[in-house]
Amino acid sequence: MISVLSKDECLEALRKMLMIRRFEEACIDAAQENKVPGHFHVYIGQEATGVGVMATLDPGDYVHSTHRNHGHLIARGADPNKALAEILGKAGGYAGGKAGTLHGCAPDLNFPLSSGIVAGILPIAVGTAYGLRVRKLPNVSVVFFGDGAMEEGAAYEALNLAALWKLPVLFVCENNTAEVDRRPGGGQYHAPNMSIIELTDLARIMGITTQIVDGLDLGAVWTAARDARNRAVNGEGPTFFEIRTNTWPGGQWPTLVTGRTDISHAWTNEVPAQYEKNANWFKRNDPVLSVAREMLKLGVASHTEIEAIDIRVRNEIDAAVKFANDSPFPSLESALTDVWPN
Amino acid sequence: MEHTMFGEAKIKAVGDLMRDDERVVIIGGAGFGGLLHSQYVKPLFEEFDSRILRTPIAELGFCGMGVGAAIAGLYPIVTIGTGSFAFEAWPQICNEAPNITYMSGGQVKVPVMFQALVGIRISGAAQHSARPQAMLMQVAGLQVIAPARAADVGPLLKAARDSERPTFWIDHALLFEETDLYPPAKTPPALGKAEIVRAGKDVTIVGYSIDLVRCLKAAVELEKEGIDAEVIDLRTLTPLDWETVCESVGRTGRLVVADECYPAASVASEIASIFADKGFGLLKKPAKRLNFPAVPVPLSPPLEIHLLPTVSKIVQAAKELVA
Repeated sequence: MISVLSKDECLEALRKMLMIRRFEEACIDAAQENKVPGHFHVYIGQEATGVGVMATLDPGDYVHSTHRNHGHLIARGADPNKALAEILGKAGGYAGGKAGTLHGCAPDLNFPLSSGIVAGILPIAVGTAYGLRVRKLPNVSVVFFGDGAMEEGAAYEALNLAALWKLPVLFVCENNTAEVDRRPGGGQYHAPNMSIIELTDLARIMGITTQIVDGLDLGAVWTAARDARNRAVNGEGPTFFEIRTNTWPGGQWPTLVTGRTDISHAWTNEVPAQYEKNANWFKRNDPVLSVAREMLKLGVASHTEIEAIDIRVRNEIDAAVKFANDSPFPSLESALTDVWPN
Repeated sequence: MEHTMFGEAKIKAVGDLMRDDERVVIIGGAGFGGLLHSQYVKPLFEEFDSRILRTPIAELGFCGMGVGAAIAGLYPIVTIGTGSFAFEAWPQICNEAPNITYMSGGQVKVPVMFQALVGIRISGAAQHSARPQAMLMQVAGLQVIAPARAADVGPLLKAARDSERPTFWIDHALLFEETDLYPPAKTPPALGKAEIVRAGKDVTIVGYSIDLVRCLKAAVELEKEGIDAEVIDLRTLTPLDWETVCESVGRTGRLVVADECYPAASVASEIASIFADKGFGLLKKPAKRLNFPAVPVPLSPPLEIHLLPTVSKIVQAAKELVA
C-alpha cells in the first residue's frame, strides 16, 4: 500500500516510474529505427521495484545492476539524456559510448557499473559492502539482478560471503517470470531453472533474512527495502528479496505489442480492443497503471495531477531523445583512451 | 652486498605498504609463500590481523569482493594461493575488473591487486602448476607484474598501488627462497620497464620471475665457457618493454627466451614476435624459445624437470646460437 508514503513521495515515485516507462518506450522507438547497437533489455513491468528500493537509499549507498539496468539508472536519478545517449553509443553518454546498454553506469551517483554477466555483479556488491564496513561508513550496497543470476555459482559464493560477515547488502532478485512458470525446472526462457522451490530458499538456509515482495506494490517494496537498509546499517547483515513481477507481454521483439502506455487507462479502466488479448496487463499487471490507480483511490492525486506529471516526463524524454540523436558518435581517437585510470 | 630472500622482501614490502596506507587490506586465506614458508608470513599476519579477511575457498566470490572493495575506496591485495586457482575466479579477474574503468569512460577506478604463486613448483601435477600469465596478457585493462629480484619487489608493489590499475602480481612458488645474484639496479624499477641485469655482448637471454633466475645461472655457466650473455629481466609483462629487448638484440643479434608458459601465444612468442616487425632484421640467428611443451604437467619429478626450461637448456641454446 502506498499509504506508507507521503503525498510528495508518492508523486515523486510515480514520476520516476513514468520516466522509466517513457524512457524504455523511447529505446524501443530507437531500436525500430535501427539506432540501438546490440541487443537490450527493458525494465517495463518492474518499475515499482527499482523506484521503491531506490527511494529508501542515501547518496552514499552503492547501487549495482545487470544487463537490465535502464530502470535502475533512472530510478537512482541518472540524467536521461546521458543514459539514452550511452545506449545509442554516442559521445554524450555516461561512458562516452563505450558501455552501451549492457554496462550502464552513473558513477557520480555511486552507481559504478552494471555487469552483463548475470551473477557477475553479486560478488562485486559484496565487495563494495566490505569497503563500506572497513571505512566505517553508515551505508549499504544494493544489487539488482534477475532470477537467472541464481543459476550461476557466483551468486552462491556471494550470498555465503555476505552472510558470513553480516555485510550490509540488499540482494534484490527481480523475478519477472512469476506468472509464467513457477515449477522448478520449468524450462521456459527466463523461467527459474532451479531445483529449489523458492528463490529465497538458498539465502534463507544461510541465515540471510529473506522476503518475497509483490512487485506491483510500491509501498510494500519501499517498506521492505527501508527495513532491510536499517538492519544492514545496524550490523544485522544482508537481506535477500525476491520481488515478483509479471512478465511484460509487450516484449515480442521489436514490436510494442501493448502499445505506448496511455496513463488515462488508470481512470478509464478501458482496454482498447486491439489489446484485448493482453487485458490482464492493463487491468492488473502494469505497475505504472496500478500505482496511479492506488493514488487515485486514496485521493493522493487527481487524474489531472497525474496527467500533468506524465506530460512533464514525456517532454523530458523527448528532450533526451533529441539530445541522444544529436550527440555525435565518439571520436575514433577515444577508442584507445580510458583503459587505465588517469 | 645484501642477500635478501625474494619472499622476505615480498613480506616486508606488503608490511611497509600496509603501515603506510590504511586502505590496504588483504583478502584471501592463502599467504604469500607456500606452506613451507608460513613461518615468514606469520608476523605479517599477526601485525595486521584486523586487516586480513580470511576467506572461504571461494575464489570467484572473494576476487569479486576485491573488485568491489577497490571501487569502494580500499586497496585490496587478493591472495589467490596457487596460480591454478585463478581459473576459479577467471570471470572476475578477466571479465569484470579490467573492463570497469573503460566501461565507465575512465570514471571508475579499480585499484585491486590479485596475486598468486604460479608455476611449475615440482610435483604440483596437472592442476596446481598453472602459469596463467600469458593468458592474462590477453586481458586488456589488466596489468601483469612478474618480478624476480628481491630489490624490485617493494618499489614495484608501491608503483602498482600508485598506478590504481587492476593488477595481477605473479609470484613463483620456487622464487621465495631465491636471493639476487647481481646487485640491484641503480634506478628504481618502473612499471613497463625491463632491466638489463647482466650486460653482455654475445647473446641476449630474456626471462622473468623464476625463469630469470635460471637465465642468470645460465649466464654464469656461459661465462665459464667464454660466452658473454646479456640477461634481461622483463619484470612487467603488461605493459611489456619491447624497446629494451630490441635494443639489446640490436647489439647481440641473438635471442634466447626462457618461459615456463606453454609455447603458443606465450611470453616467449610475444618477445620473439618483436623481431618479425619492429625488430625485423636484427637477428643473426633464429630466436630460441624455451617453453614448457604443450602437455599437462606430470607429477613424476624426472618427467616434470625434463620438460622445464632448465639452466642447462638455456646454456645449450645460447651455445648453439653463438657457435
